[in-house]
Amino acid sequence: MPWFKRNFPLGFGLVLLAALLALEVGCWSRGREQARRTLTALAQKKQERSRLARQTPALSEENAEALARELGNTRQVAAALHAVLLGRDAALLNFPPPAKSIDAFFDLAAYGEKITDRATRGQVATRSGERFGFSSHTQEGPAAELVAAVFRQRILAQYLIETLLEARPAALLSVQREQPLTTVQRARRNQPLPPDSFANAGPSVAHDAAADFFLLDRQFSVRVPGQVESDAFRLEFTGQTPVLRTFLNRLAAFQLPGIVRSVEVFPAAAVPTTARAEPPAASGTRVPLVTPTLSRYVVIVEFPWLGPAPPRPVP
Amino acid sequence: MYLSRTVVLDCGASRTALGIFERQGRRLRCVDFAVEVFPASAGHEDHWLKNTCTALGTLRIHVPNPGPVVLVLPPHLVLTKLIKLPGVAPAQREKIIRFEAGSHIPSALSEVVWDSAVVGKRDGGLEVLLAAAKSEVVAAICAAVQAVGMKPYLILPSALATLAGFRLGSAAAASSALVLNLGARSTTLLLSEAGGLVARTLAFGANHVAPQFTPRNHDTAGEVAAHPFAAGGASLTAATVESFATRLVQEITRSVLPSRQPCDRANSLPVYLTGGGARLAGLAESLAEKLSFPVAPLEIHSAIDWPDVATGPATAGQSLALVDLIGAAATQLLPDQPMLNLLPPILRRQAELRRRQPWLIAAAVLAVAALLPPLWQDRMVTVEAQQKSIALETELAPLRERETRYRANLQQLAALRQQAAQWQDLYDRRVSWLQLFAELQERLGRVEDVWLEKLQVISAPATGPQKLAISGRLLDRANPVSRVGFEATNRVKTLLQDINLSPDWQVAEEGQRFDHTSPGILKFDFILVISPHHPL
Repeated sequence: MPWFKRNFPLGFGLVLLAALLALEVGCWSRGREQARRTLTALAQKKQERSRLARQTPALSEENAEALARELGNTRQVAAALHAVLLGRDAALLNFPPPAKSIDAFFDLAAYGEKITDRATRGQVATRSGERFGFSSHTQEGPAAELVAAVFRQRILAQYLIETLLEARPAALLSVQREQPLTTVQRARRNQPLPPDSFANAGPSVAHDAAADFFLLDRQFSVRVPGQVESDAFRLEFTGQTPVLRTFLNRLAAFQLPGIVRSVEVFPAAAVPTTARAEPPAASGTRVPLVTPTLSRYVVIVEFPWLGPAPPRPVP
Repeated sequence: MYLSRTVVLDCGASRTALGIFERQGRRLRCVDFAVEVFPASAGHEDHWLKNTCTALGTLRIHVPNPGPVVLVLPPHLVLTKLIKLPGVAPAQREKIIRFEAGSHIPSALSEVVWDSAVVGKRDGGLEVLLAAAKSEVVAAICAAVQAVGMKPYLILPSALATLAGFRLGSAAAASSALVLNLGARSTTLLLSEAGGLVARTLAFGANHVAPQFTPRNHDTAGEVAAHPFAAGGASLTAATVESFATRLVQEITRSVLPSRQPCDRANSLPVYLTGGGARLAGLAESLAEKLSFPVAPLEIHSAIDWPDVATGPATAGQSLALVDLIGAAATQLLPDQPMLNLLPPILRRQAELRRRQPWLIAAAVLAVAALLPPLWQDRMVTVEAQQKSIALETELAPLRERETRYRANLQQLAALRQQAAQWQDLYDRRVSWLQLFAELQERLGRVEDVWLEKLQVISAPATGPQKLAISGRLLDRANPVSRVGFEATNRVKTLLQDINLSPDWQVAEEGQRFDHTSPGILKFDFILVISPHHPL
């Protein structure tokens, strides 16, 4: 400090120059860093230009138009498939659901009576008091949050049973549906299950505690989590081969998009009492080696819910 | 390095002179000069310092831009010793000089400022002049000089200034000469010979001849320089001058002449008088008579270009009092002058720092300037890169937009294709069971009298193929009431082979069973494995 006092002008000048030097060093360092960053950014842009130039297909207007055309064609194909898969009577599913649970209850009661009446008129045996998959709502309607889901199931079940009755089975043994679910429950259903979830569920179905419900084996489902949802039904009926053939052919007509997921055939153990009675063989007549018998059919049908129509291509 | 301009302060015992000199070729030019005279008497150093400080303050006005200055100390403040050294290496010489200084300087070296200069070579050795002055005195005079804004960077003893003045004068051509610098309080004897120098300081001067003399300050420098003995010399008696000369001759004979080279002792030795006392009337003649040598005033007036008649010393006699002033300037402006510096170490360092100051500043400025080119270069690189980047950005923007559109369309196309494939798969599956039954029916029809009795889906791992357990019966019309024959078995095998022909499924090897127990009926079981590529 005494030196600085003795040589103040020189010291001040040197300090000033030192400060200037420090400032310059700072500017230089910052300038170098900025230059480095700018050069790096330039190099990146050059690399990007090279990358864009190497794009396959090349980023030309012709290729862009070809891609747009391909996109349009694919969209048309998808739209056509979408329209077909909605079914010819897709409007049936567009009916507004009942507003309240009590309305759904009366709707289900009317459904039961209607199906019973159709079965009786078609001489198809059914169990007394059968509610055709909706016996859980004999006394009450569905919960408010499930009204829409149950109503949709009722429409599909009615279509399915009416189609079956048109094939004139000997007896309609049971109608089962999946547990109706809210949107949240459906999302949860799509979560992966433990590998042995279906190990003890039987060959294709697992009966729920309530006779209305069954559990569809994922192996046979067309569901795609997040993309395709579905409602599945299990019909058990008796009849001869033409009944099954007719039933399957009518379903394939896709009035509504019902897709057969499983068919099982068993020899019918006994024909229900209300079934059509065959006349007894007269004594002394020739007994055939093979007598025509009824079979018991278990058919699982799944109705997929398609998502919205394909998006429009980017112009 | 020799300067082209110097400022000299000659602090004499009875006056302080200031001179500003420039070098013009091989000659010196006096730019300005001034003298302040004050009373001088032996044993009153305090008054001398006070008077000198006062004189410095007055002389300061002659220096518009005060800066480095050369100080000449009066002989009575400086101890000079001549020592002889053997011819040794410089490093060894320094040690010897320090040792000799400790021996010859009567005070502790820490209390004095001392220095040395080689003044001659003789007999293979060196003659070195030691000079020392009290540190406190030197510090005081330096502080006084600094107080008026000037910065001492060299302090010369009077002897070396006189020597330089003598060499500058017209008598320099003489190979050997004795110079008597007759000051107010002391007298300096310089015996200059080829290859050597003898210097003695006598503790008496002109004031011992005229102690009652009190000089006055005058307006013009020339009058001041000439004043002391021009005004009082006439009043001195011849006996007084004679006595003064006798004393001088005794000292010369005792201490100087024995130092002459033996080969020169037979030759005549010219004696030159200088200093204020040189103008004492009759002194030169008296000395010449007593020494038997030619005695004359030192001619130095003509060696200097004086600015003008009004401000310069009017005559050569008046210039005699300025020999030390001129000699000190010569040490700075002319080459080959023996020189030593009695500047205190701290001031020497300051002076050294001042000398280096321009270089320091230049170095610092250079350091600052050195970074400017890289700064400019980086700036230029940045600007150029930014301009290229902007140009490139203009080129890239439409490509990026097109690529984004490409990617969006490609992603949409992939999603659409995946969705269409899913929906196509759904559409195909609507008739998969029908096709299975139709194809089975066709194959059963080809075999005839065979029908299926049971069909059951076998639960399989999620990743495995679908499997169907199928049971059927075949009627053997040839053996309606007995065990079926091989032909029936073969028909069933044909049926299974026929079923196996389909690419969409395969009859598993395991699980095939045949029951012949019923008469006329062959029961069979097999497992149909559905191709994972065409699931039901």
